[in-house]
Amino acid sequence: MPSFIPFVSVGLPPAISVTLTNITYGQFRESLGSYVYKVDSFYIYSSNLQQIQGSLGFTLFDSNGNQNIETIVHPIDAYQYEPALFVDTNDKNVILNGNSYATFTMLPNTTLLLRLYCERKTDGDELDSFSPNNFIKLEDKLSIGDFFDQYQNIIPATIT
Amino acid sequence: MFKEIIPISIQNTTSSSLPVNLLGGLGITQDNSNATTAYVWDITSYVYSNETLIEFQVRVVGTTTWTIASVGLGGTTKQDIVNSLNTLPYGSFGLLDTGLNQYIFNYNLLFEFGYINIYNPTIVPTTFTGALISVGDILSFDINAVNQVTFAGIVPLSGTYNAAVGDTLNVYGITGAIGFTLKIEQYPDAIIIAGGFIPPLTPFTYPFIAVSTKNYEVNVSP
Repeated sequence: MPSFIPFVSVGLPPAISVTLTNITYGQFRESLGSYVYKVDSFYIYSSNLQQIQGSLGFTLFDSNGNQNIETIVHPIDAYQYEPALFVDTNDKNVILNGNSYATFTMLPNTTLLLRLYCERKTDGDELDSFSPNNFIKLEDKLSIGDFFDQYQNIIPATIT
Repeated sequence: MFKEIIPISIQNTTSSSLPVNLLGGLGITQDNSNATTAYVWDITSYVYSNETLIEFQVRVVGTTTWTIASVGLGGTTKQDIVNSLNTLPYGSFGLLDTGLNQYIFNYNLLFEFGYINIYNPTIVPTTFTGALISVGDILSFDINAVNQVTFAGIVPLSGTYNAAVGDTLNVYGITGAIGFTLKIEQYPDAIIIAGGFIPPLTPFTYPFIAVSTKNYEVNVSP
C-alpha cells in the first residue's frame, strides 16, 4: 500500500496570489453575504492568451440547497492575439453571496486580471429605498456637522 | 442597487497548472488563495496496481486530532489522484511533474495534512526489507498456513505478498549463529506487532491477522 508523508514548508510565496485594490481579498470574502453582488459582466486580461480561453464554472446553491453550476464559456476569436476579453453574464445566474464560488484552471506562472461589473445589494438598501441619505439627514437633525463623512456606502475605489 | 466594479488580480506563482476556487465566502474551504504553507507529497514511486481508494490525514489548523478523509480513486494516473482529491473540500491539490519526480502539493492555511495512502481496502500487502545476518538464519512467511516465501542463509529480504482482509499471516523461523533483530510493523499507523533482538539459535513465530486498510512491513537488521 503506497503511503506518502508530506514535506511541510511555511512562509512561502502563495501559490495563488489574489489581491484587490483597496481591501484585502480576505476582507472581500468576509463581506460576502452581507453584500451580495450580481455580476452582469466581467473583463479578463492575462499575461497568457491561453489563460483567457476556455471556460469558467460558477457554482451557486439555491434556497433549497440544490447546487447549480453555470458554465461560462468564453471562446476567443480565432484571429485574436490580444489576451483580453469582455464576457457578458447578464443572462447567467452569477451571484456572489458567500455560498457561491467560481472555479477554473490557472496556468503556470500566469497573471490574470479580472474586473467584475456588478450590481450590489445590501440590507442598508432597504432603508435607502424608504428614505434616501439617512445619515446626512441625521447629521442635520442632530447638528453634528460632518460626523458621517467617513461613512461610505461603497467599497473605496469603486464607482456607482 | 449600486453598480460596482471589483478589480481582482490573480497570479499563479507555481510552475504547474492549478485549479482555482475564487469569490466564495469564508465557508468555502476550497479557496486557498494567498496560502503560504505548502504540503508536498513525493509520489514518484507510485505505480498503479488496482488501488481503489485514497485516504489522508487532515485537521483544522490549531487542532491536534487527525481526521481520516477518503475518496475513491477515479483512474490510473497520478493526475487522476489529484483530480480525485480535488473533489473534496480541502483546498486545491496540484501535480508538479519535474520530469524526474512527481509531487502532489496543496497550499493551505485552513487545514494541515498528514500521510496520503493509496490502496485497495480488500488487499493487505506485506513487504519484506533488510537481510538475514548469518548462516543458519531461516525466515518464512505463511498466509493461512500456506507458505509464501522462505529466506535462508545470508540473503536480502525482498518482495511484497498480498493477503485478503481477515487472513492469518505468520512470520516464523529460527536464528543462526549470531541472531538478529526482527520488526513487524503495521502501517500507516506505525504499530509494532513484534520487535526486538532474537538470540542465536532461537525459534520464533509471530502470527497476526490481516486488517483492512493496513499494510505490514517485515524487517530484519543486525
